[in-house]
Amino acid sequence: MSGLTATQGGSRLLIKGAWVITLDTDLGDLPRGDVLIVGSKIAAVGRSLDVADAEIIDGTDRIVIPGFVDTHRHLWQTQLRGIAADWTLMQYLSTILGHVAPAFTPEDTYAGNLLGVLEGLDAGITTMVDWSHALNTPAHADAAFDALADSGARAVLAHGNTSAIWGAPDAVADWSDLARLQNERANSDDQLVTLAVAARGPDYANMDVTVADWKAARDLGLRVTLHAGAGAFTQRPVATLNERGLLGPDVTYAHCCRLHDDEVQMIADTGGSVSIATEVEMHMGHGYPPLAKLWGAGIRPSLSIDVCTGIGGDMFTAMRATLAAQRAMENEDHLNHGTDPERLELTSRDVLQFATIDGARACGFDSKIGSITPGKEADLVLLRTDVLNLHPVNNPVAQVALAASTVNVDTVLVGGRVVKREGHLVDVDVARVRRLADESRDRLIAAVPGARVGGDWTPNTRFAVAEA
Amino acid sequence: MSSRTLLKGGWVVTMAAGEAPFVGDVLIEDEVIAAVGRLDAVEDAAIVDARRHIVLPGFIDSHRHTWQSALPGIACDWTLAQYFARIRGQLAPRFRPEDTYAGTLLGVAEALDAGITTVVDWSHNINTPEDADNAWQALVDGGGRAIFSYGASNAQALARDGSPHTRDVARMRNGVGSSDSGRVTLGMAVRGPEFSEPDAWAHDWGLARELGLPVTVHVGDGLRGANGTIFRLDELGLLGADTTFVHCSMLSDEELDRIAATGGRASVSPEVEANMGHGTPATGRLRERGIVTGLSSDVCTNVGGDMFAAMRVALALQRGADHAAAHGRGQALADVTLTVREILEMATIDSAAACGLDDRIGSLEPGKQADIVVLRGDTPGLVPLIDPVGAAALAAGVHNVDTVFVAGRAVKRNGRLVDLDRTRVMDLAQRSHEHLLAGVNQEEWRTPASGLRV
Repeated sequence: MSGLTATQGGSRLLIKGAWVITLDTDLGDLPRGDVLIVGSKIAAVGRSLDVADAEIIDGTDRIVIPGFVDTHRHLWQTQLRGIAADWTLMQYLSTILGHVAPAFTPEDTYAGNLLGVLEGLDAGITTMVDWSHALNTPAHADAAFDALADSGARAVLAHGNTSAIWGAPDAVADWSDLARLQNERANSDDQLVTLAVAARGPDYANMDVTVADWKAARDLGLRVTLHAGAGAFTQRPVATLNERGLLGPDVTYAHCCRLHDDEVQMIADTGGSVSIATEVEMHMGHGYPPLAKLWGAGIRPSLSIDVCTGIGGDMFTAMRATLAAQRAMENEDHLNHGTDPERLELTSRDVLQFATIDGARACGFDSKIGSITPGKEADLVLLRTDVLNLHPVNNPVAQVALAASTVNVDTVLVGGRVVKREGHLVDVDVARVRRLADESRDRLIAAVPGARVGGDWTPNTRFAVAEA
Repeated sequence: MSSRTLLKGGWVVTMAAGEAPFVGDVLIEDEVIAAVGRLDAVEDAAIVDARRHIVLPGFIDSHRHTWQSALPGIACDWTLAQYFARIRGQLAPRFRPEDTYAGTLLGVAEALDAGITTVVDWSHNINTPEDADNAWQALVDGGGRAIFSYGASNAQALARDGSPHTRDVARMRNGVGSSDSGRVTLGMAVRGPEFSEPDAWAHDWGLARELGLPVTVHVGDGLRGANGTIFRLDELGLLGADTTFVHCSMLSDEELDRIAATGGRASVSPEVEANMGHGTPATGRLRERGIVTGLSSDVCTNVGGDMFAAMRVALALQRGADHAAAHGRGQALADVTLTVREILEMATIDSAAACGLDDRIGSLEPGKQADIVVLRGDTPGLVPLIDPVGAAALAAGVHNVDTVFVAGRAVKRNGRLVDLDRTRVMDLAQRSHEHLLAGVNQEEWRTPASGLRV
């Protein structure tokens, strides 16, 4: 394969001799494989590639996987990390959206977004759907966009409009600033940061404004993402959307826990995608993740972290929690019928796919990222296996899904650029990120009556959701 | 001259009953915690700058089969039945004493690296006295605190018969395991009603009580755990406060009531229980009866061996079940049922109590052993700190484990294990791994077909 020395432009990087989990159905797993990166793209994958003139990344004691894709995360609130660890969904909605979000300055939005997206990169999440629903002024939107662009990650700024329209089901959203952003800052699909619309949908808004939100997104040619079917208050949101003809392959439905079977089928029939935030759903009372229901209808979900106000922002625990939750339900069903389970339906490879290629699909990016396939963008993670928690390597896919953690994330590439090398984020002024986050936290805690650090703040306030 | 170390200016999470986290100091003097609080000048102490960091008691894993540690992840996609057939039926017979040593050492080292300072080593592949000695030596060499819970042989595990537990445990009790206050102490892991015939029960508990050893036993494991295990033990008068009941998933409420009434304690491994089909984790049912319940990782053949994921998954499973029950009644819970503080208690002080060690470890209180973890609070995933308890329970990971003390001795500093020869640990594990899996066709084990239709 000496032809690989040839002509394509850009820098050349060769990951040599790693255990490569391509998640490409044709290429499979390569116990000692090489990955050649030219410019931003994967140029070749194989055994003992004959390559000259490339910078070598030694793959000894490394597993290479596609970068993780988090399809639903509210990055803006990252500096409130842990504040909602003991809150239910309603406590969270009323407090964070109702009381804290209005206090956000653009500087706070920047600080939260930057911290969260870097936390993601540090943990091997190369693509983040930033579900940004406190863009209270154009300056907030610019700040959110700036932080994503400054980070080096691939990201979708899912514009969720102002926090004031949340908890106000009849409020009409003004999308004019989104058009401005698209014109000024996100006019190419090839750039790392792109746009989508994060709409309230029928659980949080009346149908007239929902129709208007969808029209705005589709007029701009942007994908739509919404929360659907989470919490005790949800009332057949997908069926309601379907009545108005709003479902489609451009829609991503987050949670879906309490959707009825026919609604899940409607999503499948219209080619929609789903984002599951297993851990948050179970912690906060969204309902059980509806995994069996989804694949019964032919849908493979993607995974998401949702909010770091409760949990840490890595996909490793997301995969573990998803396996545990689903298997718990399946196994309980067996035991209730008087049989021990004979096999497990959901495999560790499945959840690794959910966290990568299925996530890419949910963003409409599956031709671009999500597997280690020549021609795709080089969004890659190298996991160290010479750490005690992954040694000896025995069952790599399973060990990545059920035993690896951020401690193993050695090197991360986004679009061929190394953003983390040998355990350290590259070109990131970590002290500045910390300072911005600390200052923002302090400002927000001071701005909200009753708020305090230490973990014992549990407010009880009201939040309005849509009426049936 | 005593040796003094001062951990200065950290968020101190003592886990002492009712004590909220505070920014302050912990003074270590030789093996013990000498003082906790906002301490004034301390003379002659080495200073550890803990500013921005979280200082908490070392995690306690109340049930872990370290002997299998050189086979990590092999059982990720297996049910409990497949685990028994493959680990017990095929791989356990291949274990030589050096494999027990290598696995146990790797398990303890991995645990220490993750801030687990105490492991109840549930060692139930002890086929010869040499196996027992090797496991013990690995616990000593590993540098962590451990209870060596001397378990059955593989032949007994396979036969599930009424043969008695070996009296070799008495040899150890009279030798290396004669002290109950050392870093490594002795206990017994018995098969109990789900893994042995009645003849063994009274004998095994009797042997443990004759020798004054704490008992640990698997109960409520899948369908075999739904046959009145606890009632059978109760009829023989074997229940008691010296026994840790592991899993308990399929036990009836009435059986849990009997454990509570007789002072028994519990250990749950919710992630493994969920993955492998033991039954719905009994976390909530145990706790509501006041049964002290520790957390455990169980088998690293199935899930990673740190308490961070164990806490997160345990909390998610319990809260998820409680929310779902409320939804089933057409309601939403006003507050969560299990708090981050409580799950952190289960990984520290409650786990200590579940092993009978809470007078010595499990919280940062003067006079207790200095088993301490310092978590880096300045990583992108933990800044800014708002709630140190929530951060430790739901957001930290092994990469945050900066410094670990066991009995006042630093076993990990600046993110690296000290003293322990990592290369040796890993080489031994690699060689053992290769021996254990030589000639085994793992393809079917590794890549089971997904049941998903898409």
